[in-house]
Parts: sequence; C-alpha cells; structure tokens
Amino acid sequence: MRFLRHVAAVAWKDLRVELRTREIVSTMVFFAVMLVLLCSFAFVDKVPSIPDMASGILWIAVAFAGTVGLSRGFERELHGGTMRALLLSPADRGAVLLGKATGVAVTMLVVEAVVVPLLGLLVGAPVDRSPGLLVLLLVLASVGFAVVGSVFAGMLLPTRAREVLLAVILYPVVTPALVAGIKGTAAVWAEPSQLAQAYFWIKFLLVFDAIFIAVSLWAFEAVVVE
Amino acid sequence: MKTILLVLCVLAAAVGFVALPFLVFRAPLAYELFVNQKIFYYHVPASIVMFVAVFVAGIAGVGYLITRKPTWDDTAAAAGDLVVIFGAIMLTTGPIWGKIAWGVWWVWDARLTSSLLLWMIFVAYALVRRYGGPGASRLSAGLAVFGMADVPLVYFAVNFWKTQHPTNNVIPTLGPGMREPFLLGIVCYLLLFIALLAARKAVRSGERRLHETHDLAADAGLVE
Amino acid sequence: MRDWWNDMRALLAVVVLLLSAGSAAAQVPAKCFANSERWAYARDKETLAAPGERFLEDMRACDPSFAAAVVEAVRYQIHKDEVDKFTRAKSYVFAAYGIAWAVLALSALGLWLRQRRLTAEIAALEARVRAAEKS
Repeated sequence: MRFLRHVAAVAWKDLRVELRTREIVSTMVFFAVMLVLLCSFAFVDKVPSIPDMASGILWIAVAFAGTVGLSRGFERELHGGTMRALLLSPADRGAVLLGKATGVAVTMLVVEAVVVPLLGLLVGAPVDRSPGLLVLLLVLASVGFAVVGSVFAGMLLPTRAREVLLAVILYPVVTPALVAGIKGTAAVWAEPSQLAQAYFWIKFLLVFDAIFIAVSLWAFEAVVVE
Repeated sequence: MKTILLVLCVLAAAVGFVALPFLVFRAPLAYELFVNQKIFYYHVPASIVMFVAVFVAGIAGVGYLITRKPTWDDTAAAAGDLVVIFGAIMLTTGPIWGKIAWGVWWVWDARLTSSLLLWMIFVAYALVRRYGGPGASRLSAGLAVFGMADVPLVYFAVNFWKTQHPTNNVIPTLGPGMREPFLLGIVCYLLLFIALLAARKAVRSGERRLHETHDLAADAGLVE
Repeated sequence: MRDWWNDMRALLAVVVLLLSAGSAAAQVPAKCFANSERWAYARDKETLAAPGERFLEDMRACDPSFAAAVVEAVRYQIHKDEVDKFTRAKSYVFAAYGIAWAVLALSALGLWLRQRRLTAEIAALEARVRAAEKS
C-alpha cells in the first residue's frame, strides 16, 4: 500500500511540474503530429504496395537513426566541453559544420547499408534493382539531413531542452528531403521501375541540398555560440 | 502609437466588413465552381500575407542576429505568431473549399504538403521561443531563415508537380469583376497583419521591459 | 411541408414538359429522324456536346417546336442543378468566412487579454517599488 502511495507521489510531482510549464507535452504532441505526417507521406497511397511500404519503412528508419546520431554526436562535444575549442580554433566555421555533418552522414550511411539488405530479406523489396540510383538517393538525402541537423544540433547545444527541441525543429525543415527519398526509392523499386521519376527526385534533392547547405553554412556562422 | 493602431483597425474593419463583402457578393460566379469559388477571396490573401509574415520574421531575425537590438527580436516574434495565425486561416479555408471542389478535405500533393510543413516550421518557432531558454531569440532567428528558404519550394510546387491545387496561373488571368474583391482582400488582410504585428510587438516589448525593470528592482533590493 | 410542396410542383412541371415534348415528338414527322447516324458520338474526335448540337440543328430545321421543347427541358434541368450546387456550397462558404474571422478575432482577443495582464503586472510592480521606497 505504501509502495503505491509512493508511486502516486512521484507521478503527481512530475505531472504538477508539467502542468505548470506544459513543456514536454506540447513538444511531444508536435513531434507525434510530425511523425503521423511523415508516415502519411510514406505509407498512405491509392494502392499500397511492397515498394511503397518498403520505401516508407526505410526512410523512417533513416530519419530516426539520423536524429539519434545527431544528438549523440553533439552530446560528446557538450560533455567534453570541446565545442568552444572547435569554435575558437582557426578553422573556418563552415569547415567545422561540414566536418561534423560528414561524421553524422557517414554513420547514417552505415545504418542504411544495414537496413536496405534487411528490407530486401524481410519485406521482399527489390533492393538489387538500380543500386546506383538507390545509393545516390540515400547519399543526397543523408547529406542534406546531416548538414541541416548539425546546424540545429549545434544551435541547440547550450539549451536545456535540446533533445526535445532538436526533433521538433528538424523534421519540418528536412521533411521535403525525406519525402523525395521516399518517393524516389519507391519509383526505383516499383514494378516496373519508374526511372524518370527517380531522376526527378534526385534532381530535387540536388537543388534542396544546394540551397539548404548554403543556408546552413550561413546560419552556423551567425547563430552558433558556445 | 495607439491612435495609429486604432486608425489601422478602423480602416481594416471598414474594408473587411463593408467593402469586401459587398464586392465579393457582386463578383461574377466562376465557371463550374459557382459560389464555392468565393472562398478564394479569403484563402489566397491569407496565404499571401502568411508568406509576407514569413519574410518579415526571417528578415527581422537576421536583423536581430546582426544588431542584437531587442526590438528586432520583438518584431520577429510577432511576425512568427502571425505566420501561425494566417497559416491557420489558410489551412482551414483551403480544405473547406477543397471539400466541394475536389470531394476530399485533404490530399497529400506537393502544394498542400509543403505549405503545411512551412506552417509547422513556424509552430516549432513558437515552441522554441517558449522553451528555448535564454538563447531562444537566436535559435528562432536561425529557424526563421530556414523557413524563408522554404517559401520558394511552397510557391513553385504547383509548377513542378502535377498537383490537385490550382496553379499560380489563376491570379494573373482573373476576370475584371473578380480582380477587385481579390485585391481588396489582400489589402484588408495586409492592414490586419500590420495592425496585429504592431500590437503583438508592443505587447512583447512591454513584457520584455517589464522583466528588465523587475530584474533591476530586484538588484536594487526593492523587491525580492 | 413547404419543401415537399416545392418538390411536387417541380416534379409536375417536369412531367408536363416531358409530356409536351413527348407529345410533340409523337407528332414530329418521321423524316426528321431519318439521318440519326449523324448524331453518333465520335469519342476520340469531338467533345460530348457536338452530337447534341447536331441533333438540335437538325430538329430546328425539321420541327422547330420540338427543338424548342427539348431545349426548354434541358434548361430547366441545368437550373435545378445550379440551385442544388449553390444551396450545398453556400453553407461551406459561410463556414470558411466565419472561421477566418473567428481566428483573427480570437488572436486579437488573446492579445488584448495579454496586454491587460501586462498593465496589471506593471501597476503591481510600481506599487511594490513605491512601498519599498517608503519603508
């Protein structure tokens, strides 16, 4: 009985604090809504099929893995206090950003290298079709995700609510790249392969990356402080 | 300041409640969509003003980052809120029109999806301002710049993809009877935008100065 | 009750029109329908309206009162469709306008409440400062 009372007391303490600021609830709700949106782009189509499903699963996995990679990657700088060192070094700020982003992008690509064959095995997606296009889609989208994510993670480093806010601000900005990846991969894996569509989405990703990497470089200079 | 706001509000009300409904009522019925098309006179000006608000928020954010003057930050915050408000109007009147025109409330085509994402970026903007702690102004300024970069994607989405949404070609080819209510709608919404922007900015400035004064008084030991 | 009566009147009017058109057709000379293959619909070459136009053209040349009866029946049907569309769409338009104004009004209201709270806080702070100064 006492055990239950203690459970209730701890729960009530947390809920009372949460009621006052509503911080966790509002960010969680926003994140959940973004997730539902992402799944809607990924899975809701006139006739769901294996290529669409597999493509959606792949890219949602990529998005989550990327977010984890970003927060862990910058966590290290926080604990080591090395962010200030990086920013004070004579290296160009843009170089710092691109270096961090490359690290994240490489880890994302490793994850993708595991997930894609797994999808082929478990879901029956035609992963051996046009591997060049698939790799191109994955690389371009991962790079865009990593660069934009690194700017936001760097910006949020001194903030108390950083993990929660990272997901909240990253997904609305990066979703066009994820959608391009989803649609492009679905086009490559469709029966029959819609390569023209896939090329369109690759071009889209190139433009997206160009614009947003430029904006990210500017933002990293202007916004990130220790 | 207050008189300017009052004049703006009276003007906006005059346009919004008198001139605009009269003109909208008199506008010719569009082919095929008849009465339903009249939602266009509210939906499109709302989206135009939303884009304007995005740019105001972005530019004010950049201004804050460069000058570090708090008034730029107040303007950016006010504009960010207004993106959410006018975006809400756009995202509710649009589907109501769509229900009659297309039979569905929502469809995941390029224009609707990207405009929803832009709106969510600025909802996130409001969350960052609320929970971002002391550095919130800088963070939101950075986010607003990404929002600005997103606007061309939203605007030109109808040109690159075959979407359900009417193309950008509709506005230049509006007939004579329809051009007036449309332009008047834009004027009305712009007046409201300026009035709300000024009002929100004033409130934020007041709150900020209040906190600063409170801190000064606390430092002086006058209050605890 | 009123709606039912309106519907009944509309139905009566359509029946009368069709009967008159039908009776007119009964008296239409058979030679008017001699070249009926002219009214076939060449799906890939023309719009859906084209065979109808040809039919009316032929009828006008052959038996004008029948052509006029057909045109009148069609016109009535179109008007009825328009009225239905308008009635259905009207409520949506009002809803859309209402929501737009409601959102703006709510935001203005929220702003006004915030301003009031702000002024109250300022007044309270001033009072406390003055009280602290006096003591």
